Amino acid sequence: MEIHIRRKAFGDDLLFDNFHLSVDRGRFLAISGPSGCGKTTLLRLITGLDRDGDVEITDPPERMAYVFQETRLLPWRTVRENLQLVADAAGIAAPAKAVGKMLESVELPETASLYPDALSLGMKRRVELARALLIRPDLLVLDEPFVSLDEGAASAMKRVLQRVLRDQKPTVLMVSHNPADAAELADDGRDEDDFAYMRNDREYRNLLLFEMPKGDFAYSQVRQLFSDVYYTVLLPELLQSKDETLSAIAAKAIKETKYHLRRSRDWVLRLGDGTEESHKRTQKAVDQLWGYTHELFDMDDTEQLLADEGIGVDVSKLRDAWLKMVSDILTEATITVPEDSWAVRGGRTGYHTENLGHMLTEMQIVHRSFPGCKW
Amino acid sequence: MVRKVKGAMNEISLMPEEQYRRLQQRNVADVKELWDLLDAVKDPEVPVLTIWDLGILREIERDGDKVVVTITPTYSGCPAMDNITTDVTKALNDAGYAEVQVKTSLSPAWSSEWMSPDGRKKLRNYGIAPPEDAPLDEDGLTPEAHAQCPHCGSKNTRRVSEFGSTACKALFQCDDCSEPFDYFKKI
Repeated sequence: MEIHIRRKAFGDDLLFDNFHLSVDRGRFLAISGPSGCGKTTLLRLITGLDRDGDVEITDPPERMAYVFQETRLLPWRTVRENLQLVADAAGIAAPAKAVGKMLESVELPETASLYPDALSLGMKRRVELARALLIRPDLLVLDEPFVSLDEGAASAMKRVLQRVLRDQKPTVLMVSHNPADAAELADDGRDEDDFAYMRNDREYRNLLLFEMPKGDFAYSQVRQLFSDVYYTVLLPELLQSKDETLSAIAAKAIKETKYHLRRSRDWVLRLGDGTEESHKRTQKAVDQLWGYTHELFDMDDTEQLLADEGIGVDVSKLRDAWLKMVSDILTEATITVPEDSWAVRGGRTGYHTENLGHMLTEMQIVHRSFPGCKW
Repeated sequence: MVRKVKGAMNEISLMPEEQYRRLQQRNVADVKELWDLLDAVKDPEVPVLTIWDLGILREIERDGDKVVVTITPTYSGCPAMDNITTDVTKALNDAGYAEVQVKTSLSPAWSSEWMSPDGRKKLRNYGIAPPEDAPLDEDGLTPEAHAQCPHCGSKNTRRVSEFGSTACKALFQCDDCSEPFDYFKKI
């Protein structure tokens, strides 16, 4: 499906200006962004609920289903009647047995004859999901399916969604203010091996400093020092993340980084303030690696979004602290802190140094030669 | 906070809160037999320790016929998780549980506090000094010297390397018996 929104405005407020989006059939697409940025409007334009805009859709889906943010069940009809009403309107036979089965798949057996008022918000939302899926849509639109749900209800909803999406495989457009929810659900069948072994270099998003080769020992320790200091200033910020897993990873990595930093700092001091040869090599390593450190503090749109939502960290604010700490160590090691005269960037956009290619060649050769092999 | 626990009278019977909670979790579990069963699964890097001893085993649940086991890595990027997953699945399959799911969870993050008291003893006997056998330095990190040698008991020891056979350990050498030994970091 190709979507082209030439223009959509509310009064003087221009929301979409020549906006293109293409979605492959059966894909899960999550749309994330701050409140008021036009997420729901986008859904309404795509589904035709909002016709006040210059929109063109090529290859539109034949059958669409929309799960709204707010509950839209008819209170005077039972759960079964609510489901059947929509199925009838879509011209789909929905005998009691099919309705019962659908309710079971959203973990709500025995609710068919209840009225919506007897259900909790989480249950209502799952009934609406069942109602949407009963018509077997090509396109399923979910507007904030987890909003206002407590943790238990949200995780039930996620579990149900994952299961039904595996069974039915509609194209899904989901709006969520929480990108972590999206990632968890965007289960397109790729596992960690696929990410490690089958991605091309351009699809890797690591920062360049972390793909620099080992070099001699001075080079390794200087590179290590730059990244250890980076983590030392980054992790306490990440600890504040609203995302529980990220915060837990930060908590542990803070302890580990103390050990790492102590080692690389020790070595840089010893080598820099060591023999003539070790000093020369350490200075050379610092000069060679300096230009790769600038991108550590760049923000892209995704990172900005994550930082705004309290999930990620605004790394652009960390450079001063990093520079101070690194400069102190280098000065103590009798090493000259380089001028900021050059910078290489590209990790976040997939433009890497040749070193990543060397690593991937070695790492991926087996899986590329024998796809799907298992040890 | 510490709690009293029953134990041999010749040692101080105190246990950190974290450990006490873990023990309670296991003792009141619906699937106590599964916890016992998984005592057969050892850590591939320290084969005297079970995954329970090390605190890697976090949770065991039954979901119908399925057994869901949650494990957590000790050190970030620990390469042993795959092995452990295979070993857990095999141990349960062999005992007749056909459907097994092993989940890796990073939250809450592993801490060396979770190591069982029994595990600490086993570590020592195996030749690895557990975290509490060294006076930590002011940053709470491995000290430069005086971790107790697990071979001869001497504290006349010094740190040789910040990282030992694995990232979660440091390498020491004893100046009395001259033996090198690994020290399990406090994390």
